[in-house]
Amino acid sequence: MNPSFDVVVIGSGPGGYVAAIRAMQRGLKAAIVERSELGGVCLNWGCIPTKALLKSAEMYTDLQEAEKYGLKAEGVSVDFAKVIQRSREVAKQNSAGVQFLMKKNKVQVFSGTGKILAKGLVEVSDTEGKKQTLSAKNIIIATGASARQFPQYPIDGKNIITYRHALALENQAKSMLIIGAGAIGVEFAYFFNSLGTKVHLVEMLPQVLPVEDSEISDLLRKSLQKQGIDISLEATVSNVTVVNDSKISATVILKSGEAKNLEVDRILVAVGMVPNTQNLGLEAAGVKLDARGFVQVNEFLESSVKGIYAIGDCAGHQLLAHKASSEGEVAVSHMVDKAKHGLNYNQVPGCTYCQPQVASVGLTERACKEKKIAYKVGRFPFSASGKARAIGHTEGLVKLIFGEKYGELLGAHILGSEATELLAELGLALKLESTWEEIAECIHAHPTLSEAVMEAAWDSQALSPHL
Amino acid sequence: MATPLLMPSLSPTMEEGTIAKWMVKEGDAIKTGTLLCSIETDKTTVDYESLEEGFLRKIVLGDGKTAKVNQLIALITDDANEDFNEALKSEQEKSAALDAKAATPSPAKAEGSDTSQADKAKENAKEKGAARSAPPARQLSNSRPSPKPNQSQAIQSTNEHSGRIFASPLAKKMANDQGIHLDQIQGSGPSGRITSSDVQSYTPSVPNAASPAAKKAESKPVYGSLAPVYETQDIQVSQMRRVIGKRLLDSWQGAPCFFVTMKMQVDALQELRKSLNQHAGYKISLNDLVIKCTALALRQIPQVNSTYHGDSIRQHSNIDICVAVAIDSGLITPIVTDVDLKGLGQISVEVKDLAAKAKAGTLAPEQYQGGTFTISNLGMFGVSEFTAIINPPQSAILAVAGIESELYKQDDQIKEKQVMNCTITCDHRVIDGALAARFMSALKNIIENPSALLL
Repeated sequence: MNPSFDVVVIGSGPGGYVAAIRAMQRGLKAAIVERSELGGVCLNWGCIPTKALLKSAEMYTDLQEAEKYGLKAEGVSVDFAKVIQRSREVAKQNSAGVQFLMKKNKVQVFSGTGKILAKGLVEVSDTEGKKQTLSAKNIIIATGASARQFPQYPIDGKNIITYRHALALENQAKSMLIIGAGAIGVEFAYFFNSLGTKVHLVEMLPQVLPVEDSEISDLLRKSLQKQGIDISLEATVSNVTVVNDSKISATVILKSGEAKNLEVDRILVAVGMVPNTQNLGLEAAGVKLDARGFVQVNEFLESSVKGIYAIGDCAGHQLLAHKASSEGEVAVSHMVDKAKHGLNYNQVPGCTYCQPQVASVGLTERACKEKKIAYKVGRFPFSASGKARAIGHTEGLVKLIFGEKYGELLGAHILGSEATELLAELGLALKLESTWEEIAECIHAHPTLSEAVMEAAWDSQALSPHL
Repeated sequence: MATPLLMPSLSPTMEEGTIAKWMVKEGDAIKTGTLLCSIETDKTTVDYESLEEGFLRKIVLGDGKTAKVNQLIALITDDANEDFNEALKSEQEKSAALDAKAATPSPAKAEGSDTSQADKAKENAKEKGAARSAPPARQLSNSRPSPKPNQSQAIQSTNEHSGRIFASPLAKKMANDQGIHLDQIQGSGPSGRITSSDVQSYTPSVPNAASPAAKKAESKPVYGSLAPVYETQDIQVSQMRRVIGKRLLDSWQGAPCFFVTMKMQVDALQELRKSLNQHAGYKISLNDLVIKCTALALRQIPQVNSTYHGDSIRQHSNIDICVAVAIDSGLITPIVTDVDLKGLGQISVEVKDLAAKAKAGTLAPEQYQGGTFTISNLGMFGVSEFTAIINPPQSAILAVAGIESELYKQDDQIKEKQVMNCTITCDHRVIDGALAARFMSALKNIIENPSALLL
């Protein structure tokens, strides 16, 4: 007799483990199948360890600017191995935290690779090749995504690497070419550049962070360039050749058509992610994938096969941890009592943790124009904020987009120190369908950076008292 | 000269009213304050007192009939025998024109041409979210065109609804804009919160709930021809109802109460009121007089003006009387302080002000917390006698019923007098029966000999 469960979740990332816990909380018997560390990429090889690295970079930058604050910090230097070590330790602690949560919530964990044999049956193969079959009334596929690879950039894990290798490097490169200026590329560019690596950042599209509002992206690009990063937009990389162990040559074809030859120690390829939907038995089970390999799901994350759900990166939309967790909740609530709504994917916030940080939720100006939505913009630069001046981080701005007719918040875009923390109230505002009035009339504490949010809301009506 | 009597706007959301009963008949002389008729609004039945003097010559809208706000309901003339046919015709034409205008498909235009500056300012204020502060519509009734689903109403209805309606700011603005009442929309958000998509997908269940024509059809009374519809409704208990419930339950269960009723003749008091109101600027109500008389009775029997605190009974030297005011969401008892020291004019002004604030929900806490005695007056509803529940820690409450005529025999002649029943509810821990009786006879003595008020 197979062990049987109401829900078997394949993958223990922020989508999978939250779904499993939520299932137990809602009275379903849940199991989770994980082939590697609990917590998935997010905890072990993504969100959390990169934030640990970035903290080191920020502290180093701050110490270099100590004099600005009247302090002397002499002889500060980077111990790269320790920086990496701290990041790994943070990841380990988090993974242990998930283990604790599984135990606390009585979620049964199966170590091994999961495969769907048929609707209702999941096979787990452990590292020794032992197989076990689980019966599952419902299956949640939460297998995530991996770095996209291109044959012209052959990943060797040493000279040509992905984010995953970058998190466990043994030494710091003197120079580095980063291909792709999405969130991953930009964060690593900031990190390595801050620690003293000469960074070349190449992006095929016309702006860094292509999904962000262009005004914000342009300001970020200028800031990163000022910090010393060499950025080429609408450019491509070709002729990648590993000359020797610490020398790679590559040609960057610039927007102008001009070819620029580069010699770097290392190349980081950050050109997007592909869903982990192969070798899962999906085809045999009848689960349909879209052209890019993502599982096709309805608004409640149910696939073409009833009782098989897919959440997180393997189900498309934004490849973000918090989106995955929220989807897990929707999927479980749909199993229990038919969820009323799916997620509103326009309300998924996005954050990039370089300095200055970028955080946004909702529509960009570009999207408003494409959708032909009449809008009004309110802005407030941190240079006009007393708190920002006091802490010495006056870069960036809060930009809010409101519908012209009703004044409802359509999108919020923040560039600056703590932007990612400042975004929260705007996520709530968007969820609650707030208009500029609620944001402007909400009393914000003084002095805080968050006042800039209130000021930007007033500015949409040309009523900011501080502009 | 003939003066038209129009359907008054008795609440901010009232669009039409039904004459429950005419209290005067054609040919009767009427004075300011004469009870003309009772009118059923969307919320309650309200007595309509005359603001005019003269003779009621023609009742246009009979008992049980419904008309929109500002439609002609009767005609008043200055003289008893004056010819009014022409005036009646012209007024009826005016009403018909108003009706036609209301039916035009462009409410915005119709509204714009008739709305006075003051009204516009008010509309604007409401749009800014200040709907709560809208004063009772009675005074405005004559200058306002019949309300249509306009800018302000959707928001207003949320405030007037018995329970709070949860709706997103965007949903409110959209509903406003489209003239949809939020209470008609089923919300799909958490706890039934109305979101913009609920407003967008809303289709009125009646052909068009907002159109005047539909309203008209709806309001026609239909008897017997419809299959009965049984609908139960669970209305969530508002915060205010919860508090009322708890306090009154505590009072009822915690205080050993007894009741003493006394019938009081009010001819002299009414006579006094009439003569007081002849002075320009005053409109003193019977309730104002009862409040003042009660204060004097409390001065005479100060033990009744006490609060109970378990170990002690606190006898107050200040006489602060709470006046129960019914509001849409429940009941509140704003306080007139130092009643014994104040003149009737001031009491009258303060009571009106407090009642308006109570209805608008703008009372300051000190205006309703405290007090040493409470009066509840249901006289305007034609109540013959009732008892009230003590407002703790006070030790008594006076329930004032309506005025009724009573025949009596004097010198072998049958005469008529006006009487009113007052019932005091006393907390026996503080007030004993004899004391309550002494208080009531003191009150009766003042009410029946109101010249004492001058002392």
